[in-house]
Amino acid sequence: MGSFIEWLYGTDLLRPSIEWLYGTWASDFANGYRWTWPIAESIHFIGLVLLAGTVGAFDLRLLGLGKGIRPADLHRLLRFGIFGFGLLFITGLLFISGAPEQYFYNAAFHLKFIALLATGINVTLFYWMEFPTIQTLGPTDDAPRAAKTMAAVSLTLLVAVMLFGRMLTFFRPAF
Amino acid sequence: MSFFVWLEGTAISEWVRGSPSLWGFPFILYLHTLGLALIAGLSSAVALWILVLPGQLYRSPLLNLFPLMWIGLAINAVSGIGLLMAYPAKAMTNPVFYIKLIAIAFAVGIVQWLQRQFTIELASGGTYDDGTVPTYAAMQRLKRAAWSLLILWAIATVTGRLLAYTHSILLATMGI
Repeated sequence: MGSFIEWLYGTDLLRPSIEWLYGTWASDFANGYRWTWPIAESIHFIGLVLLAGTVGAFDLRLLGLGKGIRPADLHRLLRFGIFGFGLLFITGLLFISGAPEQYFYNAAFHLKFIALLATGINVTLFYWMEFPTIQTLGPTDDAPRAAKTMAAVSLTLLVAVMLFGRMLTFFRPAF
Repeated sequence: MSFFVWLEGTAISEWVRGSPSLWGFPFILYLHTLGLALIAGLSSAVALWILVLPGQLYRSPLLNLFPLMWIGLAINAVSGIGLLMAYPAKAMTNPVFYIKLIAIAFAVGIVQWLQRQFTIELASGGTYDDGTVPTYAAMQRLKRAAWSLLILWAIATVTGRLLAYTHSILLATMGI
């Protein structure tokens, strides 16, 4: 992974994007005030708690834990998860625009990005293929096997995103 | 301060702080986030359930989430001690750390109370699976607890993050 980062850095492919990001209002905001970063990090973690709690609870129900709750009822809590994701996304963009090279040349960020993409695909497939069935399930009904698989994938990716997010600091490029 | 110097000199403190392995400080920090997601995330989901869907409180299924919350708390306690061992002076000389601990203590107390309510009292105005009809006053107590829990987890999360920015001493050994 280290050699890939060095290769990427050597190509200068991302240099224009980095320079553009440094010129944005968000970058100025991230770097111009002492408390922007700590407050944004705090909001980022509040978003994580909301997302992990509501999505995690929904996934666990699909997997069979919390049987007795209609999945459609639990699904109503996901609006808070979406709000949490919004907080994560906005503050995440702020971090990236504040120090783009710290993310673009960071193996942990690449893995986090891949995990986020996979999460997006998993969510899309779930709503496309399984959600109509899930909406009709009763309190004690088992979710279909495909929905269970998607819930397991969702939980795994959630844990992976948290792991790679936490590792960002320790894979920061030296340059 | 000599206590912090001693603590920073212990093998575990030196390993967590100084080990180049990802299994040291980085992994412990990750476990702390995972624990946060379990205890604060799932209990917040229960709190939101109480506030948003009070007419559909299901006692026993929600109880299934509590063991996972306690696992999360255990992970956070162990990883928190690990992180504290690495930089004891950094945290323990910072008032923000104590605000975080107080918020966690109250939040955990509320989670425990909620678990008891779901287990014993059936205290809600909602529809329970066993047909019990709870009182209005009990439902109001549940809602107050849910709001308090959300606010306390927000305080604990924010103060936890601010620890990295508000300390006056990093290592007692080095006097910085």
